[in-house]
Amino acid sequence: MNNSLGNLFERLRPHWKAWRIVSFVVLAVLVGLNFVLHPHHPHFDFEYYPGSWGAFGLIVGFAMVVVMKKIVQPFIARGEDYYDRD
Amino acid sequence: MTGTSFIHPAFGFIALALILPVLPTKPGSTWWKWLLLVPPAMALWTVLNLHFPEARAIHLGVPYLGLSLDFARVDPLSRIFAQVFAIMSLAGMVFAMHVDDKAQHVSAALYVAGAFGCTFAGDYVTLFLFWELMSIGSTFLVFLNRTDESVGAAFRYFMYHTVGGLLLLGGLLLRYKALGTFAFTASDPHHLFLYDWLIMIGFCVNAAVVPLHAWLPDAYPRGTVTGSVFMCAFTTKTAVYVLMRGFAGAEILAVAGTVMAVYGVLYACMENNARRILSYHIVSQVGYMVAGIGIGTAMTLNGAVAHAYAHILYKGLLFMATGTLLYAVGTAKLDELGGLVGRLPWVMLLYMVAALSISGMPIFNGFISKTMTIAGAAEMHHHHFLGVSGTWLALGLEIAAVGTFISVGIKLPYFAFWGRKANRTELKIRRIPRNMYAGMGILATLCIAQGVYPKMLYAFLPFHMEEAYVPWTSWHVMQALLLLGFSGLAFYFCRRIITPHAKLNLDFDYFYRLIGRLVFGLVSRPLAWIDDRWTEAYRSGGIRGLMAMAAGSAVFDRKGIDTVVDGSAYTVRGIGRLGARVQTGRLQEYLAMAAVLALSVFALVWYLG
Repeated sequence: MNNSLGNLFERLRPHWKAWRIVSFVVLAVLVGLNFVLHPHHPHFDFEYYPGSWGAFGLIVGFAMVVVMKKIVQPFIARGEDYYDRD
Repeated sequence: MTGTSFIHPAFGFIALALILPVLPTKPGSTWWKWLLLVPPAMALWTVLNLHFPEARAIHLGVPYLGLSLDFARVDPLSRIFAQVFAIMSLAGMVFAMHVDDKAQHVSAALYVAGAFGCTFAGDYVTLFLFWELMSIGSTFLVFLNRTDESVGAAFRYFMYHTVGGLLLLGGLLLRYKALGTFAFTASDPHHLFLYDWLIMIGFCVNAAVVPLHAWLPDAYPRGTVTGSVFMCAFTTKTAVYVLMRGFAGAEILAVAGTVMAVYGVLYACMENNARRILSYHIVSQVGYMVAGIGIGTAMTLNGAVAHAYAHILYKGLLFMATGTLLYAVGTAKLDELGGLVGRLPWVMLLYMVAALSISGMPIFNGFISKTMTIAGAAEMHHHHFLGVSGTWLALGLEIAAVGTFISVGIKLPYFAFWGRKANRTELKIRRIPRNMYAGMGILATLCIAQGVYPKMLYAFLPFHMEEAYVPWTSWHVMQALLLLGFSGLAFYFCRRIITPHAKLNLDFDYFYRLIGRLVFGLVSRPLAWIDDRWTEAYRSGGIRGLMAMAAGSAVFDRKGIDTVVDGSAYTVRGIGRLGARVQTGRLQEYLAMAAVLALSVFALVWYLG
């Protein structure tokens, strides 16, 4: 049972470039649709601009990872046995 | 007891916990494991058959020490929590059926009994009894993992929850003095007294409200594979339930909840251990519920209940799937995993159902619960919660949604199952028992069913709303897909930055340990001094009378002073290795005694009632 499904996934893996193109197309279509589809009761002012939620996800996500991994973590990261040492 | 047909769900679990240890079973026999499913099935049957006109509650008064304890406040709010608890206990027991260690099942049963007891408790005394039972049961679920790491974590966990319990106890006693009643009724959120604050902080310890949260990512990743599945579902959600009962509309919770939601995802994006990532996401997801409670409108309260329901199902599934990884491969650390999709494809698929649920992807249940709280927060744009408008709260919750999808939806499965690693044909993988797949299957089915048929869940929501919330609109779907799709793009751009490292990230438990050492030093030194002087006096003064007195004092020394030392030590965490070594042996005894005491009180009450 496991093997056939596992093999299927393994066969898909080398084609990751094709999957990437598909994903980009989907994202583009979503932004395109946002030009015709608007919220009835916008909760935030920026919601009027098409693609604004996409920009929100991209910017917030990117900023979060960069700030936490590159700026915050160097300050608070310790060895895994930090508390066991003393 | 009154003549209702209500069988308290805790009853079955406590009976199971009492029967299992004395059951005559041969090593290797498995028939007794089917008994594990009886209490959850009974609970489910009871809860699904609770039909009553709205706002009419069944009460079950049991006289005890001159008080009338209310073990069964059954109303729409307790019913919906009990319902999801029953479902989760069933799935959890199915998932745990392969485990031979009876002690683990006993602990889980006591723990779940505690959760049901809290849910139906109509007064603070009953609540406190079951609250402590939960704390004991869950401590054992960490302890029984039987590694040095988990023994230490269990000890810290128990100390910390004892502090929380003491705050609750202090609060409820002061409250009794002020109001003359133990009845567990809502406090006025705009006029909170000292006793209200004590009770609320006691609840907040279990709800993992930042900065009281650090026990959770400390203990949950170190619990047993099956124990953590139970723990992730019950402790924080019981706390959400009691917060909602007691403190709906307390503005500080609205802000605290939003802080939790963001704080949890920020830490999760740095973490390496899969179960630790998920633990931080409990803090984050419970943040949505706490925020909903603090905002306190019918919509956000219903949102919090709905999210608690959905959360229990998908978080249980997340912990099952990562627990399965740990069981099969032997580690849950992302830097050691990767390339497993060919070997464990079904685990990956089941994990993804839960991951998309927690992310709020349409079709999955997070979509119909998370959006409700956010929309409810946004509708309060004209209102300020401690100076923060509802719009900002909603924005904070959206930021948390982005981080959730990046960490749980993509980072974890990417580095565990895919990554840039080839198919791991060389890796030894333990065979995964069928019951583990069955447990995951139950929850995955429900996650999708609820997402597709929100009415399944909405029909049980306890608060009346002027206008029903409709999740499935084209805009909501559009918004969710845009937000999550582009969060995914953000992951793609920073996939090399987010690569997890084997590091320990300092959190507030650093301060807990600091305070722990400080208090330990302050208490132990004077006591050691007194002890020394006393021993001297005992040696030098050889008078018979003094001898007799000393004999008595020795008892006092053993029982009294040690208890004081222990008691003070329990009020803080981390007392260094020496302390831990001395205490671990006693922890088991202490726990066992506390459990026996609590159980006998309960049994007595039950029997007399």
